[in-house]
Amino acid sequence: MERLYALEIEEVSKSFGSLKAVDNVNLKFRGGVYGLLGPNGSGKSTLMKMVLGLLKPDSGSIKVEGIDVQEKPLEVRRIAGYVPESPRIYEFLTAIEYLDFIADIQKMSPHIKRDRIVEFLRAFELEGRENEMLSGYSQGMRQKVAIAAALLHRPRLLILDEPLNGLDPRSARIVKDLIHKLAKEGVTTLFSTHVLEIAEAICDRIAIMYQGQMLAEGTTAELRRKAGMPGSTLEELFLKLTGTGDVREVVEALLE
Amino acid sequence: MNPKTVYRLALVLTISQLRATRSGSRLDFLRRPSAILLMDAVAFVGAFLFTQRFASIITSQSPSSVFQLIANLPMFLIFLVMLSGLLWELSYSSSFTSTDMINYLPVSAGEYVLASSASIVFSYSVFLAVGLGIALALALLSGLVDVWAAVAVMSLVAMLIGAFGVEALRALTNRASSLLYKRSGKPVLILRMLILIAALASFQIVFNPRLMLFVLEGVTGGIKAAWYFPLVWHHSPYSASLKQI
Repeated sequence: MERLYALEIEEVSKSFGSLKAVDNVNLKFRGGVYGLLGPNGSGKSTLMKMVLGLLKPDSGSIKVEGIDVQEKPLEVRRIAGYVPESPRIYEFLTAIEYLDFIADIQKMSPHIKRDRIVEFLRAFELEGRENEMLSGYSQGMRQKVAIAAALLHRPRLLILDEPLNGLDPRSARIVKDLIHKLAKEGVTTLFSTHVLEIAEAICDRIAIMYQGQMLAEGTTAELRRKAGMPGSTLEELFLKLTGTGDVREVVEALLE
Repeated sequence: MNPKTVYRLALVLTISQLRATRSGSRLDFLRRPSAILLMDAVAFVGAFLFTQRFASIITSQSPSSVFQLIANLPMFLIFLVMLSGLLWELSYSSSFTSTDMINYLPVSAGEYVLASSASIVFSYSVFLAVGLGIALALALLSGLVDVWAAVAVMSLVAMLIGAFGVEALRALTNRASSLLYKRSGKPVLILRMLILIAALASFQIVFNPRLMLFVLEGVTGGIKAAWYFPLVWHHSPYSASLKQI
């Protein structure tokens, strides 16, 4: 039997008015950590929202484990865990109430949910503040709660849109290690970032997006070979592929 | 539709709403759903006892008006829920009603709307408690307890219909606000205000019985076809059924 892809994106396009946010993107993968790399406004978040069924593509199809996102979005949301770029959570709940609610919606059994909530609160150093309302939390603390909420039900597909934004170094490290560990357990992660070092450290494969188009895709070694730049850094590769390499000129112009 | 999901979400929305709208340490007790239930119980008993003292005057002077009074309770409640919704719900920040987070979860649109409407009904359940308390006192004296029981069920349905209306308006204002969100804060405020004024004006028109019946008769070919509108219940099989009880 043919093994299903964790995520299968075929010829997907999406426009907002005259702006082509995602332009004929194709992507298929299963397992590991897949990085979407691109500058702000390159279409990464739009693509991720379409994967979850939050936005409808103008054309093309998206399947998660063979399930069409447009046909069965709720099934996909049971399989997937999502951390948006700017998480909006119910801020008049406490962290524990919020996570408890998420666990119930994801139909987790009471004892598993209790253990997992405690584990996450401890890992993210939120113990002792779990009964405070989220409205009193800092941006980084809210981000931790949003990440915990996405991981709580052990999703088979993780969609993380700039998840390390606002996290302190320790928590960022925990999230990175978690992603690696989950990848080893068979969880597929789609990870967007515009920080090249993070992409290089975390991702098994990388897709470079620019102005809605997927310019290149592969492991960092494959990307170097494709670009004809052996031994180059990911930053150099990125700047060459996106045609934004004239950074020195820009800096000089700014200092003039 | 999963009832557990609806219940869980309704509970979260109610708690969020209570905490967001009843701030201040002196009102901490009122920020719990159990406090609402207690208040409802007190309101029901209080309204019942108060009405019982004066019910004999009303029932002896005009027995037929007692029936009308009880039968029209659902319509009165839908009016109260919608008015309160317009005055209070739409003016609050969307921070506790935001559907953004729910969109990432396996919750259907139907489950969300039902949960949110149930949460609104729960928030304004004191109206139901007072209304049913008054109606029960009158019904007991007039021998209309069966009618009261039927009206109690219909009142709950009416409140849910009112809450659906509020929810639809809230979704509209949130949608309009989010469309303007990235521009600046002022247009959003003005837009919310305009929607509120438009909603209040529409509300006045909708609750003008003559106009409403005229529209319904024109559109649906008779009020029997518009049975789902509490406004026409006293003209409809609902009222006839109550008289037969």
